[in-house]
Amino acid sequence: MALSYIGHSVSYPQLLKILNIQWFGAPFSNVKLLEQLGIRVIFQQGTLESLYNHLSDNSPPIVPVFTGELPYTSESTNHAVVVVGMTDNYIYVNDPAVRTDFIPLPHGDFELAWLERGEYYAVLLP
Amino acid sequence: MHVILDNYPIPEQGQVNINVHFSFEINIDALEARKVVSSWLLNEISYMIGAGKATLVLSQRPTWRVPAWIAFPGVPQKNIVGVVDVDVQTGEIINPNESKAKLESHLEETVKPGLTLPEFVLQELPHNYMMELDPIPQSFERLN
Repeated sequence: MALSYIGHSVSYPQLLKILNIQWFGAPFSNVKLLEQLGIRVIFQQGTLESLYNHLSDNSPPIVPVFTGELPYTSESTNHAVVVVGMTDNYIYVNDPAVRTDFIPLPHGDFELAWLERGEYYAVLLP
Repeated sequence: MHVILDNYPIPEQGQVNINVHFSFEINIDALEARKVVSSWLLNEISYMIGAGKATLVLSQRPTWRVPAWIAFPGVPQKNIVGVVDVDVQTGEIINPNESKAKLESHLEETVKPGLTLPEFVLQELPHNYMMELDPIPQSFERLN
């Protein structure tokens, strides 16, 4: 979703290859490997304000989360979602495991899920 | 707090006498050690692997021992895939290359053979999820 948002079309098998995805996943930091597609990748730790600033620049951050803190699922796994919006009360995420386009999350739930994974994020820039 | 005495061989039966004397500074608490390991697992092994609760291990080099676990969608149990030790004084991960090799070996040799993953199916939001939230603003700017 984040790649197509910046106008890059990459097949799923090619993406798996670039990111070195194995059956048990891949290091989140491997997102930097996407730079070989000619894009810029920001990968760092941040705050809600950092995410807000990227959203304000029309750049949706990818964030690792622990789903045990997310109220819309009963799974307790480590996962990644894309932040697509933010208001005073909610963070809106796109979860590739859920059919719905965007899911509103109360700030507290999102922050706990994100904090559990060290508040890292990645932003893809054209 | 749970404490492990490492390298204290004891007999399986009979009188046991253990005299323990350790003197050291704990500069990194258990929570901080868990954070260190969680970040390392996330960025060095896989975003799917998390860190559990740290246990203090008393040995020549006192450490926090943090279990690493992996879980998969649709599979209820967590699989412990090994442990990562953190120096209680410096906060450094001890022998990170060795720890990484052990974890990856355990994943391949122990977790993978016994793993049956259900077919991936997109989840639906719980029926009443949206209704239980406060009124959602209609005007937020969604990026997609």
